[in-house]
Amino acid sequence: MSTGTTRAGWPSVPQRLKEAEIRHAVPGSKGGASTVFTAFGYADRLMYKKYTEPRDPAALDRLVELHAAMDAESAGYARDHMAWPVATVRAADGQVAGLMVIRADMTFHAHLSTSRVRVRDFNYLLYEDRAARVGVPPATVRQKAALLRDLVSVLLWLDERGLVHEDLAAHNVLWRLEPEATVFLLDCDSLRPAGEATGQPLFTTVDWTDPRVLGEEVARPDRASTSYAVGLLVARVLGSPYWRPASGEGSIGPGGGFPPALEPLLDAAVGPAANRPSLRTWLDGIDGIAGALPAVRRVREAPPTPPATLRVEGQTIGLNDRLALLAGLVIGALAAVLVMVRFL
Amino acid sequence: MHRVVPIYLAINTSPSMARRLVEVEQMLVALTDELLSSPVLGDQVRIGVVSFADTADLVLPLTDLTRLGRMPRIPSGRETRFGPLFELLAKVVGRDLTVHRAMDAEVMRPMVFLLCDGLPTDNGWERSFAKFYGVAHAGVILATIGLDEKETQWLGSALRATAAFSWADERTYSLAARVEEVLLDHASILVTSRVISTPRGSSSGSPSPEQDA
Repeated sequence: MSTGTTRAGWPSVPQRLKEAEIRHAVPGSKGGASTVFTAFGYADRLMYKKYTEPRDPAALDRLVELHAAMDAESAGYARDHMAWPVATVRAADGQVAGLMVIRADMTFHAHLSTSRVRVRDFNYLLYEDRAARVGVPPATVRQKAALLRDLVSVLLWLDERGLVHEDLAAHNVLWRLEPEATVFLLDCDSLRPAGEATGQPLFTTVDWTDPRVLGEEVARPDRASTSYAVGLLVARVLGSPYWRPASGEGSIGPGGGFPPALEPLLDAAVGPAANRPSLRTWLDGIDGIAGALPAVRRVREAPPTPPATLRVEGQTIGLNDRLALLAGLVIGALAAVLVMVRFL
Repeated sequence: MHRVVPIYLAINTSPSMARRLVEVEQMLVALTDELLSSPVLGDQVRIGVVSFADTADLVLPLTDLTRLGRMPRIPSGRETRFGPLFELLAKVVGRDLTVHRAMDAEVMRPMVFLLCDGLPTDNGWERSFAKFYGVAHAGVILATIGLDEKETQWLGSALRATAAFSWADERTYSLAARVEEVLLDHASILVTSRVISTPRGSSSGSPSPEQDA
């Protein structure tokens, strides 16, 4: 049920909706425990995130209320940078079926040469040679630093409000370069008050998760986990997408032209929690190197491919082979005709 | 360290499957588009194709589909025999694991997606399967066409399948779309969030009903 729009073109939405009231279609991205649908009637500003597993209604209601209570400036910032939940959606039995969340606008989408439209997440920044093959131009090193700066700014904004994003990962951060380098955070139902004890299941992405959480040293991602995830993002975006912290003593840097000035911060971020840099320190660190970074694209080395000894067995003759055979036959026939003409 | 997610398609090419082979080839094209569209999946997922009937053939070795010049044509065969399939898979998967590990890649557990429309006709195929399982430690996802639930369950159990699907033998659905969905669901763990812990005392299994509904 939409009830008109506010002065900024923002649809006014009740904080609780019944699922039957939502006109939705066209399932979009499918996650581990939810599917996102286009929702009609909300000025293209909202999407319906439908859960396939139960969620805690109180935690979701709290996020919705936080948005409703924001002043105009904060609400504007949240809408520009985060898929913040603006309404909970209840099924007929009263349980939470999903959320209405802010939709990333089309500047965060990419029209691929495969005729598909996808949200432009950080994976298109990490695997830029592959992204370029489907029409997503690579960013320069300086532009990447600007995107990372904007990401840290968003996380700092959340931190100042006592919130931690529990699922920071490349697929949850969208980016655009025009009109300016900007990021947009997805899965904001993973926002939780820092330090809060909760019995809710933890949704996260193993490759990007603080080892303290995976090792059950701490129950939930905390501020130190955010610093760890920022370290991974900085290392993988400015260095190599394959970089992982060393498990033993000492560390090997991400290489790939990673700025040496950020190495101490990275070492600290993946080390003991007590020594991890604050988000403010990360911001200062990125600002410190930004001016010195080249406005050029840096081609990354592709991973090795298996040797050619793995031959195809039983492969049928392809078009090129057929054309080559045909050309050979034609040339042979012409030669035969010439020989016959010469000697007849 | 580069990660490799090996997926092998084992396609039954007995005569009754002949009309489905075009759909399998269409699926490979659609899968390639998807791997192109998702840079992280394209970077890590590698696909191999094995056809099997009375014999088994490696139609496509473990490959980055997005760099393939042309799609393989899948030849049709005669009866459905599992023995040759698992003999070949044991060699192929074992060799691929060795090669990729030697290249310092992190190789995820291989997955074999087995598509067939009949029960195996050969005796003793279980020995070949046991050998394959011992070498490859691969997960198996089974999809049958036209077999009933009971037969599919029996076969899935014999293959230690992590998932088994029993699909009707009719044209009312796109086989290509179904296979692609299953494969991408397997691979999508790389790009989606999962529950990694459910603390004791969690109330998530029974959320409280709306108070003011």
